[in-house]
Amino acid sequence: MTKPFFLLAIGLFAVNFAFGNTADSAVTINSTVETYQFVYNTKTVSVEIKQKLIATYIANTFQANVPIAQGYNNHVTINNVECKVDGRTPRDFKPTYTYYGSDDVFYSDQKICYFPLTIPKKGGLGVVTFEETVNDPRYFTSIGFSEAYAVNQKEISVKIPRWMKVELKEYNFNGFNIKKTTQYISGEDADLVTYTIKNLPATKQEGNSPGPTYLYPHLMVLCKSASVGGSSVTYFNTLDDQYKWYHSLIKNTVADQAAISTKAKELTSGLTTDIDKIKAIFYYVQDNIRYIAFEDGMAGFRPENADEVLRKKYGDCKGMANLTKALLMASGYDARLCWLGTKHIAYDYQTPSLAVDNHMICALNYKAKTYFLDATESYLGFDEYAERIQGRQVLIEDGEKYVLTKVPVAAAGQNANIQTSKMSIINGAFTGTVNYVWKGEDKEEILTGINSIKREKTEDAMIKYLAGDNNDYTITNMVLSGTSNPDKDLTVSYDLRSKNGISSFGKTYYIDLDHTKELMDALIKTDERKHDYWFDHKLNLSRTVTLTIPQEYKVSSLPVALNIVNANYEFHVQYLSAADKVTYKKSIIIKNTHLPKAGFAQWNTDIEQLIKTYNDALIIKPITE
Amino acid sequence: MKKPLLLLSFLIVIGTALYAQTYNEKAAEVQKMVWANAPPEFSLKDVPAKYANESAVILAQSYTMQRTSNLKFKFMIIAAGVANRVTKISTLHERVKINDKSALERYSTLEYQKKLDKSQSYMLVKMNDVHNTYIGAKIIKPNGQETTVNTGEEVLLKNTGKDQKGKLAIPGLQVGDILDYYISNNDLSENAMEDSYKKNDQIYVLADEYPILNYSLYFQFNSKASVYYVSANGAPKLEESTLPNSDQVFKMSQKDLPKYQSQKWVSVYRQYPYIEISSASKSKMMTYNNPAARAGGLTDNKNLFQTFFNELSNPIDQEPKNILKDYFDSKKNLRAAPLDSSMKILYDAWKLHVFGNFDKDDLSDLSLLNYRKAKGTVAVINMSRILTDMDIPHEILLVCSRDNSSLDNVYNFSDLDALIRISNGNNPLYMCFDDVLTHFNEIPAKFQGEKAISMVPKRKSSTKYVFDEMNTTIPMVSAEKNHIDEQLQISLLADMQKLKVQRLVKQTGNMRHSDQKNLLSAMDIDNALMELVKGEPLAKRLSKNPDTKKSADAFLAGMGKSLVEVRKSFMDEAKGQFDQEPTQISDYKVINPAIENNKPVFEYTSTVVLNNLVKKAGNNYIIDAGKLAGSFVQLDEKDRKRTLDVYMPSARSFKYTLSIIIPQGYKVNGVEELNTKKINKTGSFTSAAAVTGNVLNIVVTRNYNNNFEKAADWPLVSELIDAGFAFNNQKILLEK
Repeated sequence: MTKPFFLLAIGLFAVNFAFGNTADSAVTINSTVETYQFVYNTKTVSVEIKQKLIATYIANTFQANVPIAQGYNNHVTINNVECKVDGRTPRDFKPTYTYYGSDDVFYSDQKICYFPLTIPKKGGLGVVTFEETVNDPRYFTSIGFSEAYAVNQKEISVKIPRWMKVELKEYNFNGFNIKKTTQYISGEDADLVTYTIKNLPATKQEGNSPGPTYLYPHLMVLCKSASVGGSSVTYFNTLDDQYKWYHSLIKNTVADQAAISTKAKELTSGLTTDIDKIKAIFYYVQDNIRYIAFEDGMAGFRPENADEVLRKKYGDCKGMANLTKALLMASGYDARLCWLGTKHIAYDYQTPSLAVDNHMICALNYKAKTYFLDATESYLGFDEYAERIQGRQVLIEDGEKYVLTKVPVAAAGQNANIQTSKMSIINGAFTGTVNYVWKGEDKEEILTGINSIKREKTEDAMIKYLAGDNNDYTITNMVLSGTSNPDKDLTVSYDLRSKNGISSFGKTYYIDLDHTKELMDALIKTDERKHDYWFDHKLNLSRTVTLTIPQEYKVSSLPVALNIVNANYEFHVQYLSAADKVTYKKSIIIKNTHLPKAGFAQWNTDIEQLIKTYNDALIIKPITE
Repeated sequence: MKKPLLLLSFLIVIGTALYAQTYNEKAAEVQKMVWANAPPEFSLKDVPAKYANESAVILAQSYTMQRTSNLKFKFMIIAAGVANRVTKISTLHERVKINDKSALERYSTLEYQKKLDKSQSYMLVKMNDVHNTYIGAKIIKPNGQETTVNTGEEVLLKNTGKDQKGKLAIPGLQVGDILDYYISNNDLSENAMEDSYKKNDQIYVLADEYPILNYSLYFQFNSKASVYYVSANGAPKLEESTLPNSDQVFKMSQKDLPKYQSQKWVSVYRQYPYIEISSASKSKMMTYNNPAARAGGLTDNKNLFQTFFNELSNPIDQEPKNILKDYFDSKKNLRAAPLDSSMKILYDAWKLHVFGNFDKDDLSDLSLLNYRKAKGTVAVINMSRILTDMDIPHEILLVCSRDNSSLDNVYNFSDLDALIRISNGNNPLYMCFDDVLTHFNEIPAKFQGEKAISMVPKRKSSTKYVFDEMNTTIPMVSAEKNHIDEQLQISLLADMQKLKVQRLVKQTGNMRHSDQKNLLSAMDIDNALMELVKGEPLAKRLSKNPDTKKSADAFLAGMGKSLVEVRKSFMDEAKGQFDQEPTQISDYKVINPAIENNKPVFEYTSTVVLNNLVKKAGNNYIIDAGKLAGSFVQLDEKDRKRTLDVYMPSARSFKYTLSIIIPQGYKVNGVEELNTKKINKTGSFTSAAAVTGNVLNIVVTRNYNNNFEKAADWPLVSELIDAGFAFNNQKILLEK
């Protein structure tokens, strides 16, 4: 159910899709003027939003090329497009109207109108105008301020007749030069709300960033109700209204109950405990239904019938949630559909809007506990939660009412990446055994990788991964298990021989016991990074290497320990020497996945300490020296 | 007379429309034709045990193509013409066992151009150009249950009246199933320009991503078609026959085709079996204005090459010669100049003429200017005629790139390349028309050691040249001439964690082109070319060219590199060399751009600071000395077994001289281990280290003697690679 988010994204970054401004950007937006007006269409007997967006680009180079693109769909019509370059419409100006495709959406009714804007002369001006109509206030959810290029001046005006109840909620205004004025226009009995912004920097796409609703100034438009044309319409005045609409969409979403019941019976046959039956159903959907996002009209909001998803063996999050629910209910359990916004979205249901959620999962009430089942997470076990939904507010169906709660925040131990190894030095090389255990989202990452490659190459790929792509790290007798049992940890064990990490000069060995060295490249370029850094998920990583010291050898120098502990993360590295053994212990724990910019300096200092520790070798010498 | 005919054609159109099949009717007909006539291998359900662990196994795969063509009169506004109406039905039919999620993902979606109508009407006459695709799929479950997929569940990604793009997520498909599907393309074209060997060319490589148990090709052409095909690299000949209706049939079938295995240093069109086949109308009328339409194979295309010498149909572009004349100012000076000097100027004049002229479209990405390539055959035809006119004895060498099919397997004109060899006693001079940085008398690596046809042209008249032909071989360039010499001054920074590396890099021959293109700006190159031949300034050239006249300012402003871009180019180069992003870069510049062969060594310098190559060990420090010579290739176990011969880019050599300053108070351990020597007939790897004063000097050399090695000698090449990789892992200890 990525539809609402998609609407939002188009709304926020209407003119340019993906081209971030750089220091030597081809253009700057000299000015934009955007007007939005609520009008009553007597023919359709509905409220519409007329919008006009005028952007004036100034070329910073000769022959500046700017790809212009504007999204539209069944609810947003582009009425007119104009383009002038230095006062004239370019001879070859011909906007293309087409479907918008993306890698992660199989099909969408989202379309784009696009054309290239070429300004031949440095300092030349290109003026682009879009006039549009939104045919339903429910779909008019936000107004974005930022653009893909730096904006010198922007004016946004929203004209709201008093018969229309709308709330404009301001987000991320801090640090920007934004002024607001409100004026009553008595002739039209309307309020004109105007925002002016100066010197707005360009948007910037960076990996592991918070979603745009956290980053850029924008207005969330909450269309509550209208009293016009002799009647009143309530849109999303309250969450009750939004739920009522949602609830109407999930009625009758099983057409062939017999097919569902038969499948549920087949899946649970021979199982005796409830939990086993529930797991069998959940894991079946996870493993057998391919995720395919299909967003066509109301299909963007209404789940496909559960029996159809079962037949097709594919579906989007709504379809998968609906099938999970239907199978569970057919087996006699209390299962519900629920809506939520993943952590990509800054909002929650305090602001009823289609922009609030982008995902659907299934809730199961069992023995006074609510479990959330998200079958789109192909390799997370039952009662495990992906970072993207942990702690998120969730709207659970409850007949004519709803339940508002939160997805649990997973316990620290849900994710784990544990390596233990026992090593000796034989003929100048590490020789020994290594064991890995992966849990939770760490396990999911590995399994996603394994299942994306051909199975005859799985072993090679796994060896390459474990060896860090170093052929000197020779792995034999590898045993991988837990790949097909969601309830079990993913484990691998293998024998190792490697000269990598051992340097001998004379009879002295200089030993590096850490083969993996996580976060070695984790220094953040503070002069380049604009946004906070969000880790993919919490990390609970440990490495324990026990090295048997060769006979006639002793420890000459143990590297210094490292202990960095703060509220957000911990790094611990320690070498312990006892009898004929040295044990290397490392743990890296990311407790809070959000690393704010304010924390970058400390993070870099801590990473430098970690690198320094990584670069410190254990020394063993002959006893005689 | 016109009216009744037009009326007749109108009636025919109406009649046809009334009885035209709907798309769905045609789709049903195609489905019946494909599935009902499928050979027995399309009923297979079992996979041999040897393929049990494969991601997917193709039980059967067939390509069929049926072409019919005929000439049809078309009445235009003022004249009648002949349209070549070609109908092609080509069908891929595949039956595949899906064994894992990766294969499921690969086969779970079909995407296709469902309809495309590019027909054009001229008054009441229509030139048809229509494409339709019909698909079908059925799923066979492990229990034998067979389900035909409802293709009506497709979505249309594009849906205009004349252009429909379809996409189907195959419902019900799971791991363990067999998918039996086909994609049938039906094309009807009356566009004569689309009917040539080049446009209809199809290549079938006899290896796929997955093993194939049964593979077949079947082509049927009516008698109006001319057909040419090539079976290359051990692919079987097609079985030819004629049907009672005079249709020609070409077919083959094979069993148990292995899957394609990617390997280092291969030349696909030289080493993998493939069949290339095409067809065009037999009618002379259709080739009257397009002599290339039916040029198939080496002889035809060689003849075609020679016909382009006709000065009336293909006038000589005299501009390089004009630049040459201007350069020498007088005929006397030109005559007095040594041959290698005058020919060098003529060649550089050609480079300025070709690479110093731009197209409006170049503005869309000026960073690509350095990567433009010349068309060798076109350049040679022009240059040969200029040389003939100047009475300069020379040969044309017709050749194929090592990256393309061999001379024996030439199919189209574009498979051919050419260069010029000018007679000059024992030291012939070469003009090769490749990239902007190719020097006069430099033979690009892609031609070295290749068989060629030598043709000595003689001008009989403006329309006729004759050629004396013989076979020859293009010379190899030795490894020493494709060389990288890098000198590195290395010191530890005060934090004893980072290394400062001052580099001086010198590159020659084939080894310089890549870095030249990256580090030089298009403006640097253009200026140098202009100076070489005293050519016109860029601004003047741009303003003379109608295509660039209006956008001259944009070229002038955009062809240089900003300081940020220059830094980024050097940073990218260093990153590639050391396999890590330097923490700092400074003092970077090109010392000699090597645009001309008088100063052929590309030379640049930069200073970088590298992290993670120093490890503290008590009071001592370990340095990853081996990694300072760059990151060398390593071989996987699967790379060690090899049956395919080795096509390396060129013979080449490398020398790295590392001077590591030993900090005061420390001595170096591990010097002896840095000495290694591995020499065999394919090349060598050596390293020699010695301490002089407070400097550890390490000299590393790496040579690959040839650009080609037999598979049997791969272990020898592997030895050198292994020696390099072992050196890469060598360390030294700075001991207090």
